[in-house]
Amino acid sequence: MTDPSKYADPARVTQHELERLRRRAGAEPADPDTRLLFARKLLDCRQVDEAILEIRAVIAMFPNHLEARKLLEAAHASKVDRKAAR
Amino acid sequence: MLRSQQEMRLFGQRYGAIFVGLAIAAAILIVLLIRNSPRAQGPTSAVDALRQVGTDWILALIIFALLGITATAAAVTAYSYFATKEKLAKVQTTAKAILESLVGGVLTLDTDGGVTIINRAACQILEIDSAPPYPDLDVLPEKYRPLVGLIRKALDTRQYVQDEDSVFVNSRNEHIVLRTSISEQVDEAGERVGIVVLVKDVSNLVTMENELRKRDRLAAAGTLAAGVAHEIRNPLSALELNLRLLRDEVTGLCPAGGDIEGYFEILSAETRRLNRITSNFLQLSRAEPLARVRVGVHQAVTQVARLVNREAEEKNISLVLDLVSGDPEILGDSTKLEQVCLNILINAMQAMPTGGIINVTSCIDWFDGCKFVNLAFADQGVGIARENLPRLFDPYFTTRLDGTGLGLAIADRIVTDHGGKILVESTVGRGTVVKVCLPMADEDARGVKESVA
Repeated sequence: MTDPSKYADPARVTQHELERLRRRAGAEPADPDTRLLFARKLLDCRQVDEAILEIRAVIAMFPNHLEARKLLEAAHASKVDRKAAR
Repeated sequence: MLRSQQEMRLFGQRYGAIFVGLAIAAAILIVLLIRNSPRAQGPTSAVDALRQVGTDWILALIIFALLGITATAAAVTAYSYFATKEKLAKVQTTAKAILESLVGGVLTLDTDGGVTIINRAACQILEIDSAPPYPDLDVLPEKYRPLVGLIRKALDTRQYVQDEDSVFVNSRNEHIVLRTSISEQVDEAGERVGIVVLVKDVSNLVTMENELRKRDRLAAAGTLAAGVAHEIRNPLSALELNLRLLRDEVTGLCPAGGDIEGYFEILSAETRRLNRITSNFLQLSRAEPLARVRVGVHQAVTQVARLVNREAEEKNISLVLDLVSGDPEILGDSTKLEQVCLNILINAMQAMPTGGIINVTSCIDWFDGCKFVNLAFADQGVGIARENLPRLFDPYFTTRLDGTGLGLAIADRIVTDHGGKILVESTVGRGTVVKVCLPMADEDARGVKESVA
């Protein structure tokens, strides 16, 4: 299980880096590694919903992708944690 | 029958001549005695009478001597007979013991097709009663018709076979491969008296051969994949990106509603599909070293069940875990073990388009002195056709249009790398059970034994 506190500091990830990854993921939509990297950065930026969409897209292409499924679970967990924190 | 004939022949050869000789000698002496008797020759002188008495005594002594020799010969003969009989019995017992302890089945048949000898292994393989009278070929179950056909052919046309494999389904519904050899049986004179049939269950051997072939294929696929997939994926990505740029350009130039949009959709989808195939290819080929740490099998299964539970609920599928107490540990790689569980569960879910229940159970078992943890994933899906079962773990074998055919191939490779085995049982329309057997870590075996007790 991924530790949600890992994504606690969004300042670590700059907007520039996020855009760069978005472009890269867009350019290589069938590459699960690139898209999951982008999803992780989205989670770092607390853009959980977009991250979940991105991960789901990977899972739709690669249903057996264990890493993607773990990341999706972590994303859902962080979403629940955020709701609870409010 | 065979035994008494052999004994008689041996007995006759050795001692028949002695008996005949002694009997002839005794007969001659009796005739002489009768001819030389006083009554037969009429009245004689006193000297003649005395001589006659002496001759009679000599003849009587000779007769007694001959009778004594005959009695001694008879005693020796009887002793030899019983000693020979005992030896024969020993030889027969040894031969029978050898025949019975053979792993392979042995049958002998006479020229009329009647079974004369059948050993225990043959009875077990052919699932027939080992006690005589032996069954006729025609009463063997229908499933053994191919074997009966080979035997009939050998008997009728003298066409013998060597290591011919045939597949049967036994009474336990298991596929068995029988390797059959048939040769001619001849007697001491070289006359054909029947045939000898050797049958051996080589199912395990064939399975091992298939597994070796599969490993070779996987190794070859891995070597190719590393080079080819990288080379293909890079231009594919460029192709897809440029396709999208072109689409933007062309869509701006052409009036809306044309077929161009549809063409671009197809091109993009196919490019993505190619990309996905190469990515899967890479996943199969990755030769990552296997970690050897203690891994809780139940923990891995539970974790994966949690990962897929949301999707399962969306598809009206219930995941039911019924695991044995404790968390049996294996020596291996937790991520790879999770991958095995995930691949099997995903397959099970894909086989249940209308929903249902997936039961995951575990148990501890002993095999060949080793303790194994057995996981069983039972779905209520569409099932797998019998002819597809042997190819289930072949890379790229799939019955689904959108399947990659790698899920079970990867799972099988991981389980094999852990020293385990995957078994699949399936009935079309009823569902499939995938069993994963993994050797437990030694020390942990004791802990689980205690907890189970």
